[in-house]
Amino acid sequence: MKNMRLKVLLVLSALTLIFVGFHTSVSAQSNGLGITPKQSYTMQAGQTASNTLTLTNLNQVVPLTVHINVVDFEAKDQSGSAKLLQATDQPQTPWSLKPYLTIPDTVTVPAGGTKQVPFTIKLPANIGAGTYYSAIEYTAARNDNQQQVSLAASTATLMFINVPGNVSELMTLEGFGFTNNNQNDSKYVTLFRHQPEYFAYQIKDSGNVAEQPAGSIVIKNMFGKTVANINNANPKGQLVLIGQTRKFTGCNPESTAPEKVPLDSNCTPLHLRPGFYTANLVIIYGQNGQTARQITAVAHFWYLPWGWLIGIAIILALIIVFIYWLYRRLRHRRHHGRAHHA
Amino acid sequence: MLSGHLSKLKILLPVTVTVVCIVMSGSSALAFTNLIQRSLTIGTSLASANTTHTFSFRFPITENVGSIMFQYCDDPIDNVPCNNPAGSDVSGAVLDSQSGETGFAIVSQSQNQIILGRTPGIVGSQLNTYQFSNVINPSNQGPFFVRISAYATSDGSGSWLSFSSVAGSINQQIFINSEVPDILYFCAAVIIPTDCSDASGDFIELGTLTNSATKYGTSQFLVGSNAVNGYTVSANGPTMTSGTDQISAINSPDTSHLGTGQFGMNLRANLTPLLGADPSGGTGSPMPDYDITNKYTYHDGDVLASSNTRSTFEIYTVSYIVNVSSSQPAGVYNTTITYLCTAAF
Repeated sequence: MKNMRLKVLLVLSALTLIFVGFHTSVSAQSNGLGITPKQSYTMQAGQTASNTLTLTNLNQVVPLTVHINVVDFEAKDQSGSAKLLQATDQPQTPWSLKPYLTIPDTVTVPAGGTKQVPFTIKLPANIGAGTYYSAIEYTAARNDNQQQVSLAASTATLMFINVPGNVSELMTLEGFGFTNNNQNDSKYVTLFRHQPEYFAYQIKDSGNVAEQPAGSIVIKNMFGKTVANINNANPKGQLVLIGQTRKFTGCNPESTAPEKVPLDSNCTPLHLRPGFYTANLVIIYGQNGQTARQITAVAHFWYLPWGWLIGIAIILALIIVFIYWLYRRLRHRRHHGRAHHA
Repeated sequence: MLSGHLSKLKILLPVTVTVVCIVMSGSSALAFTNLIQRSLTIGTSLASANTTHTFSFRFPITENVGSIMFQYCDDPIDNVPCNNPAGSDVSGAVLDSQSGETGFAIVSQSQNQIILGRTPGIVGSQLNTYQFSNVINPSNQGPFFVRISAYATSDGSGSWLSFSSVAGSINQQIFINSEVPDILYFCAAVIIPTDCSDASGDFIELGTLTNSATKYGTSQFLVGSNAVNGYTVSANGPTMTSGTDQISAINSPDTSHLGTGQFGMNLRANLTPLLGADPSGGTGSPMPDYDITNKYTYHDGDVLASSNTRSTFEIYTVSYIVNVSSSQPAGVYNTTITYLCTAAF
């Protein structure tokens, strides 16, 4: 009986140990983070300002310890993806906010809680006008023991500071056209079989400001008549970073309500008639008080749906058959007339 | 005879199409006579603020100008309808100062339009500046446009002589916390049953790696954000190593090959080996290289998945495969993969 009890006890103890052990190994650290993903401010040279960033622990049971690091970043490609420059020997970028930003190294957020992380930006009086940006990276602490494939999670707040003044602004257009979708890898199309809906353009920023181009697109038919107007060529307010060539994408909006304009679901075909079209893009940029600059571009495309082409082909075929029939009939009549005359 | 007509038609059609194209190309040119060195300086860029708007520009040529129109629109182009930017109001604007070409006074104004008039006179090439006060800014953040046109008449009638637009922008001022901020939620774990609150596991146990068996495992990450430009998730970390021995990361998407050094991942449900799952929920999608069933790849820093718009919670399952080459020793290999999620800008 004693042996039996011991056996049961041992099994229960083992199960408890296994459960506790497993639970400890998988839930020792939370890495569920809720953050403010992007902040943009305008600050004068010499100004100092403080504020907080919100950090939420999404785990309801375990506290979250977060290591905070200020990292420079650049554009990864022609999209809006940020590439954090984390190499240990990475030189500081010309647009880095690192020298001016102070924030705690580590923060612990209680389970299910939210913490306001204070930060201060102190700009020197002699800082040049332009845009300065860096990422505030939050990395959830984890067990140091490296075990086969160890997992870690981190997120970042992209922080942009615009310093007004005599900035250098230069953007050049590198492509414009209509496309089959609003994906960043979409190609410019000159012949559409379905109603065009999406547009794209590429802009290179050679200045020292992260620009948010604004403008519109007018579409004219082959007779020069305006048939459509897309009055927001940057519906999501996307940025082109310093030195980046950015591809901007958008669509003909179904609704122009401000809250709906940025949504991908707010797209509708242009409702064009088959034919040849010209799209004029006008982009205007320039910081407050700076000389406004304008970029214009023209793109052409055909809209020729299969149904319309087949209809035209049938009509042409009928005309050709009719002309041939008429020709045969006239020839026959002439021949008949000559014979009759003879 | 008919064949002769047809051959003529064949020549005529392309010629007609070409001529039409050339004519249409010509008609698409934008015939702007631009005002030059133009700018708009906004006293305060806060939404709905009562502030000053100062316009500066030069006339491009010597011409006889009697009036200048400033028209606030949501579009910069002259031949499309001008809609007043929401909340913008210049009906009570006052001309505070003028320099360069002077002698102007407000002859008419409405909610989105001011016309300055004077006795027509020849303009010079100097910089002209006109400052208005009591201007109400648009109520929405983002850009708005002011179309500036000059006329020979004193009241803005007739066709314009010069035209250009300037852009203004309503921005968030330093540290205003009154608006609802964007939020980005993210977690990475071995298992995420529902959301980040019950995510568990921070390593994948693959055991001893040998060249006689493919080792594999899965982990998951969850993303959700109301940021309008969406998000990107990248994987950061080296391939698996054991001391000085290193397993080659798969350079381009490839299937699993036993006996070949391979470390790779994808975000799809796979059959060889049977592991993983397709993404569920949200608006994002895997990058093309990581979106091929049964094919795996890995580069340190690669973007694995992205969304270009707002997204509800989306769970991605990462499938890992590891093969050891026959020339490499069996053993325990390690790596740390950090999943980094950032908002798109």
